[in-house]
Amino acid sequence: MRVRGRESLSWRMMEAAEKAGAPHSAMVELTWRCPLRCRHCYLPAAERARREEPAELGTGELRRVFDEMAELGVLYLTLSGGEICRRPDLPELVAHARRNSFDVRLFTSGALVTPPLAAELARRGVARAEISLYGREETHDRITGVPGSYGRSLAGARLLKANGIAVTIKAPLMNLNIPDYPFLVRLAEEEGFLYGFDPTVVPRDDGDKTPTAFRCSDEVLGKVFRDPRLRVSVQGDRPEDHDTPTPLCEAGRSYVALGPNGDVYPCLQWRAVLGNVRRNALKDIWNSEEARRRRAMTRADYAVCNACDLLAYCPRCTGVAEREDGDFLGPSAAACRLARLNRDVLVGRSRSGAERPAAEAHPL
Amino acid sequence: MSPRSVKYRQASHLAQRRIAGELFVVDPRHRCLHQPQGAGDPLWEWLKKGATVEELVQNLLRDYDVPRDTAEKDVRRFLRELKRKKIVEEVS
Repeated sequence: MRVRGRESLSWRMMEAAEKAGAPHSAMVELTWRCPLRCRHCYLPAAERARREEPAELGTGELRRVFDEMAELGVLYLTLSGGEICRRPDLPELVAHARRNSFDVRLFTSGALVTPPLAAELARRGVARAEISLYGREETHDRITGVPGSYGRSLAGARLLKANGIAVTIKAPLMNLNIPDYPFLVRLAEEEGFLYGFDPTVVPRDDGDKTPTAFRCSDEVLGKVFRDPRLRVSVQGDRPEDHDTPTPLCEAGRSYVALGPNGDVYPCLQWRAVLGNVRRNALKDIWNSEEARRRRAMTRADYAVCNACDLLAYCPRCTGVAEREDGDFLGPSAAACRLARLNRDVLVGRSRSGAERPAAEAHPL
Repeated sequence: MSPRSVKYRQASHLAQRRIAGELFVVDPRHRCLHQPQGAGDPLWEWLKKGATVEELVQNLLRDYDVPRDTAEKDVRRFLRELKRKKIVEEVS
């Protein structure tokens, strides 16, 4: 009798989920309401500005969906928004998720976390939280559009950590905040947070491309990719992963996403509505003809990309390709750009003999 | 409490799921994934509500054709490993 350690188990679990034809991770948006007005947010402004909750799933509905997700095989559950702390039933939802033995992670700005709420979330079993913190106070508040939001978010992060919840601070890397990333790294080290940065800035869900104006230049991103402090995982380390007929991506395969109104998507970036849990059971939506059709697609279905010499370096996101360029099987301008940068960084590493970082393998 | 009356139970902070018949146990505090194997799988399940060493041994003897001293050694070794990985707790 043995209890296996970590490294190969990640892949074994993903293989088991693949064999079961089931997702192992779910991202649930509890609300689109948010007190902040982040300039790069992918949610349309009108949704975030809502004060009322006209179509959000209620507590009972979400409990039922969590039960269905557990039955389907989901193990990792992320609760996101909007701002999840807007939901007064957040502790009860966490408790129900834990009764279903999910690994529960929260995505929040932290700005609405109070001492009692932090204690309650920890007591109910939240293990991890990711807090959006965009830079120094002035930078952060300028991006959120809400004066004082930096102080509230940092206070919320500290409260969660003080209650035993592992905190990761995270930020997209934009021309709005790029000079501040060393500050965020130092802050994380001083406070005992983990940290993560993402160079991807995407259009809004309604197709509004305003946020893409905040993308960093190629020159700046190239420097970022070479900074060992940022641990950016550069695609291309495992060319064998990019051979056809591998799936398009894990959206709708390992991952499933749920919007606050009950719409089910392959993932939050790929908002192709597969069904709605108010009308059908999640299992039926997951096994619907449309969901199966999307899961069966592979890179062999790409319209153009298979002929591209950058394919091995391409961090292509199916959802972003559809949202920004109108065709989820067509070229993605955002991915093309990152692929060139990835190739330049990896070729540079190869020439310098620098050690290649391990490919990211596991949600933990 | 005497050692023989100590009950052990799965640690309360874990997440777990059976996927395609295989059991996966997540320890989010230590960012680890575990998979009890062989007789470790049913032993792990018997620890869900709490069990003493003797109860675990009796369950093994009932379900497996093994001598008693083998069953007891296996149970103790398994519990030692779970304690080392901090995924089991003692309950009063």
